[in-house]
Amino acid sequence: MKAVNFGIDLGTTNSLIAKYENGNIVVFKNPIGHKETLASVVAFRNDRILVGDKAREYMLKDAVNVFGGFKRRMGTDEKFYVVNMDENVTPVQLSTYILKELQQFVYSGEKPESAVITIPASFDTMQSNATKIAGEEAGLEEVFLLQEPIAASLAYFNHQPEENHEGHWLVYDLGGGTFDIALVKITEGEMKVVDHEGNNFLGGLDFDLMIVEQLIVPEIVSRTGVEDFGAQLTTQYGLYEKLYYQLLYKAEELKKELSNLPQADIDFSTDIEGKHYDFYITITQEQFNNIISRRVDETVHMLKQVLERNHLPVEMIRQTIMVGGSTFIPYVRNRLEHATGIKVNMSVDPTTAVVVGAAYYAANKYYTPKDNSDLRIGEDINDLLKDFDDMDDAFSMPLHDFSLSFSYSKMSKETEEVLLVKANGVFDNYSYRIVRADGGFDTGFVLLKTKFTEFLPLLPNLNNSFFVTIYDEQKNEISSLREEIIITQGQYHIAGQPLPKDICIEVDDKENNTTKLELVFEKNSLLPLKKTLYREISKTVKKGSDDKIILNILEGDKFTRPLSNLTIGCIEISGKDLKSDLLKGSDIEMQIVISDNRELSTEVFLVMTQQSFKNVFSITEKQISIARLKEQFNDLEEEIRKTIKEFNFDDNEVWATSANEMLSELLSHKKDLAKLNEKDRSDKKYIIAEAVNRISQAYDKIGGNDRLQNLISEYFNIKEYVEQYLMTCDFEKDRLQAKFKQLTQGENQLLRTRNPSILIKAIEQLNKLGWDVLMNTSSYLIARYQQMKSAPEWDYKNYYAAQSIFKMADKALEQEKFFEFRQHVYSLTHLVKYEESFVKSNDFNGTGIG
Amino acid sequence: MQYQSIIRFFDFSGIEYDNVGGFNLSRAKKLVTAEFAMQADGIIVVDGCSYTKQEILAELERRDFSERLQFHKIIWENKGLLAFLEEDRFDFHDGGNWYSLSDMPGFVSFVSPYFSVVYNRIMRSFLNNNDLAAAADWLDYLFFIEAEDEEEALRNTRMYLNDVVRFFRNLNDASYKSRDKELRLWYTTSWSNFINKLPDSLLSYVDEIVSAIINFTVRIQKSGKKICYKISKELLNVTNANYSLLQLIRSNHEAYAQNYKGKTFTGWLKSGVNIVYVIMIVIFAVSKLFLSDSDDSGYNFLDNKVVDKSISEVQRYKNARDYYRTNYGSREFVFNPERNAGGPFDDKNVYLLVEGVKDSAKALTPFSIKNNTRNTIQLYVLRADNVYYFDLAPLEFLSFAPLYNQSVDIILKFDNEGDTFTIPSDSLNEMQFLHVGSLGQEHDTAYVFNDTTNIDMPYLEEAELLQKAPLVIDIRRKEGAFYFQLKGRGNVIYEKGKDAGVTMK
Repeated sequence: MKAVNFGIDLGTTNSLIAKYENGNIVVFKNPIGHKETLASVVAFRNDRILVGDKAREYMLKDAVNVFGGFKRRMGTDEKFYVVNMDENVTPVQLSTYILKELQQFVYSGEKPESAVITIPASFDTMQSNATKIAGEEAGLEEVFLLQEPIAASLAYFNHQPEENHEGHWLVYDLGGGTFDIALVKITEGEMKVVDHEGNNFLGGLDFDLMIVEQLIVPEIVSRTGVEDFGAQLTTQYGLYEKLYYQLLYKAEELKKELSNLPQADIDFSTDIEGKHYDFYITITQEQFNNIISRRVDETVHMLKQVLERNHLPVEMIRQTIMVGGSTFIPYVRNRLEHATGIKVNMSVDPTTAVVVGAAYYAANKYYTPKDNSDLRIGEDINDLLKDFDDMDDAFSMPLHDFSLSFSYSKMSKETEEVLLVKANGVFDNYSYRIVRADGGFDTGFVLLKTKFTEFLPLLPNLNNSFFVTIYDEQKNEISSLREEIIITQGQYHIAGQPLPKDICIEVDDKENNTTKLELVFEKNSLLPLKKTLYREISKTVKKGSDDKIILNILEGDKFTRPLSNLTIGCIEISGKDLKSDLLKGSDIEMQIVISDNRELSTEVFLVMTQQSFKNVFSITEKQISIARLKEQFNDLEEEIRKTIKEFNFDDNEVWATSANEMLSELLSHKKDLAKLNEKDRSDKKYIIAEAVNRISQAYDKIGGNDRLQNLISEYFNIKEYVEQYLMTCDFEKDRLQAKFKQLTQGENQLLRTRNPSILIKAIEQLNKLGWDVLMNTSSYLIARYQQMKSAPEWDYKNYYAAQSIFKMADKALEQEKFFEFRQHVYSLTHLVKYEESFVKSNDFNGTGIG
Repeated sequence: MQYQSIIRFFDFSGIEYDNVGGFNLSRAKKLVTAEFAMQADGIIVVDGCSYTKQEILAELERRDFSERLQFHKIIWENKGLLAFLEEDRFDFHDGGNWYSLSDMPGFVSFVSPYFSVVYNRIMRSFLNNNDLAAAADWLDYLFFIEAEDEEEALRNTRMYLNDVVRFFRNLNDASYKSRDKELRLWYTTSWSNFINKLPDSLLSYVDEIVSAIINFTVRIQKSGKKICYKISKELLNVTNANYSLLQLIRSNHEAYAQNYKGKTFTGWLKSGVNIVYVIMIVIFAVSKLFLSDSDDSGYNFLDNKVVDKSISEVQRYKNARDYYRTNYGSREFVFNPERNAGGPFDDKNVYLLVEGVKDSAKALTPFSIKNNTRNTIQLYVLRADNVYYFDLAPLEFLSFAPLYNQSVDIILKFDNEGDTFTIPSDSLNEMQFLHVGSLGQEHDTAYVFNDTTNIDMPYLEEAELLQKAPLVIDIRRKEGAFYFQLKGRGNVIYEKGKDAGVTMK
């Protein structure tokens, strides 16, 4: 296995490449222009393809054939039409051009065989897979992905090795297109990303667009009188498309100037409605700050959310490390410090931090080259020839029929590090010796085993060099197998890549005639992950029928409804796939694996029919089950309607209006959905699924914080109520207390959810428990009984039966047989007629997994 | 949560763990990281078990890891338990080998989340095979499960019980014949044992099931006399239903028995076997009257079980009694009919007081004490100025039959060392006690202890005859502590147990 060593920052506006070499990071420069950054822009001229700054400049001439900002479209099926080629290109293809160009930066001529490519922390699995594929298509044998805040953390903390870094830090990464905030914890020399938030559509590009829309366009409108100029400007393939890209280019330049100057100018000429105009617009820092303030505040809000979730006051945070080109904007830094009270740290180069961190991470990643050379560890062809020359008999050349594999960390904050060595082959009576270069450590001759470990002591803040030498039976050194191990003391490494979002499966919630999420892998768990789940089939599926068992694997937030999460994998097993009937209650085993690169693979085994179903999911397989989509659609419609009623009841017009708008949008897809069948080849199911997902998420956000606060308040009220009545409960107290404990033990996590539906469900469960408590409290039972006794005859399904129960209940009460009395009250409640305000449909199909 | 032993991985990677206290966590984590770095896919398979870095590091980073390590070692050394937790392989003989681990402090807390998952699956297989005897025995293993994991552990049990209720509710006097295959279980096996052993959290199902079965027997009493009788007979053995249902069962059974077996004594006597029973009963009655000396010695037919012994600690016994009465026994109490269990108690002696009543209809006599632990319990009873002690072996019952207004106090000794009980007069304030009254009865602080006459000596009870007892005190042990479950009409008035002050009910 070989170390990866190369790191790549594939940014929205700029990309970079770097390499780890013996404890140092080399950031490669463009041989033309000697800049470290490569503009993430691709231009298609008639005769050739331009990548980088040249492409960016070409935008002023021929904007329609120039493409930038495509990182935001990774993981989607969006295509860009290239006029000059009369062809479409995908975001993956455009990224491939960038990656290929970056490899030219490596001045030694070495071709990177594998690399670590950074991605925003909030990239979903589809987007991550797309990035990986772009790397592979650029000729990289193996691609490892790393989240940008982790990379930035590695860069910063390894930049200042002497300092004491223990404690909590924030990494604030505001780049060209994406924003990430990560909470990092360092304890006892170990660095860990604890939590993160992010937005894939928040960055410098958005600021450029705001300059155009909010500062330039008003000037144009004011001079030209064309009121709808703004709309025309942003219309795709419209009259002013070229001007649009020119203005964006100039806006970016202006933005950079405003980082250092109190004002800057923008000038351009154009024809509008047949008339020629020259524009010279001065924009001040203040104007710029005003227009970006709302978006910057969004980042502050996300930062505060991270702290709140982790119960950390600002005093516990040492500093906020600023990364990403957009952090050069003074307003961003000042606003952040002012709003949070946490000192900002600009000591690391915001432009190169991510690629430097990627290279640090790459130093400890290994891959198996596809080209299996016959050369063994430590050998090169000269050594082989030397052996050949030295032999008297060319046909009896001594060959060392074994190989060694090494595993160790190239960087450490500790005073020792482990070296793990595995030996394969024949090595009877061979021995090894490990010596530190300065002689300060020497294992002496130790008999070689199949596997051995040594703990190597490290000198502080240095590259510690160790030589591993192998000796044969006669204690002769086998020079060809000599290996040098270099461990840099004083640098951090990361234990592994965390999973950025919860991964759940969707299971049936029969009690509520709906489905719910069951957590498989929790956010922030280290990759790779593997789990086998044992469940039961919740409905019988006949062989040959159309009925289905559906395994939906979702990525997102475990506290939201399934609909608000992204389906990253789906296996459908229908009756037609079965060898025999699959009975309710029979076992199903599901093995789910997520690799280091977030590639998802699943295997489902039906114990009753002894059948296996496997699948590996990738970006090219967007799986949507139409049956489930229809059920989800109906569930969402029902829920929105119910909520509208509640909002109207509470006279909450604003929220009711929002909900009504969502309902209208949802219903606009109903007709198409009804016509859909499994064989439909069009994109309609994706469009509808996307709409349903988006509306579900938006619906969860109705009322925003106010609604959430109201619900949280309601939750605590009902909790207090139940707690109070539990004290006076007379029957089944232990069971009810255990139930209360069970419902409230996940409270901390529940209150962190931003999803009102989850809170509503928790409130409903507590309410139900509250009723249960009351029905086990004698005083309440007596009052309820009196009430029922005085109810008229027509309130009962069977008044005659009720009357005989009255007699028994009276007697039990008289004799103070309260337990018996309770049973009679229960019996009475079954006889009372209740209004069925809403009857759940019995047609619930669900996933079939319980 | 599925268990997978971390020890297997430690053995594979050469991580030293023998010295739990000296476990080098830092080195272990480095070794783990190095091992996984060598795997292309980041997953290591050892003996068919897959491990990920996340799992191993998450376990190592637990604050209570060193305590958990010793439990992991214990499981690893006990291959039967390991096979059970990892592979769902279980047999009762093997289970007996590791059952005692439920007493180890902290072990149940550790193993409960894993155990509950497998427990549920094993229970499902017993219930699917209609093996209620095995299911009943399996309920004993609930000792390994904590309250918060009980819901998971009993998931299939609850589903089964729901199905049973539905089954009986939907049988009528015509349809039951076509469902004989499913019904057979209920009239040919001793299913009551399973019902009796259901934990408190499932007691609500007991009443539902019993009601449903009672109603079913009513429906088929004419068309299916034999089945009705057999089911009803088994119903008599149910002890943990609510009292009114138990009474209903008894009264129904009398009717069914008459219906099934014939109305006249001579008719009953026509069976040759029945004549033999009559003769045996006569002999028994005569022997009771003339051959047993019930005042000073144990019962002859329990020769090997009960040892008659006079001890000189009468005064000590009386001191304990007086101490209790003076300090606690005369207080007011708040009635709570649901308080039907006492504990936890540690293994120091427990002073048990079963209170007499004013109303004979509500009496707690006869009452039985059942030893549901795995060790012998010694009982001391003051009578006729002598203290008698009795060995109650595991799973045996001992019954007492005082007069209805007599209170009976008994001292229970758990540690089986020596034959004297140890309640030194200077440590009476550390005494544990349990005071049991009759449900709904006014607490009588007069306490009529009539030690000299009219208390039948305790006798071992056959399980079948327990249906007559208005009170059964079921003693169990869980996680090193003793619990006294009251079945029937009993109700805890006061208790003072392990590490606790007085709890007034």
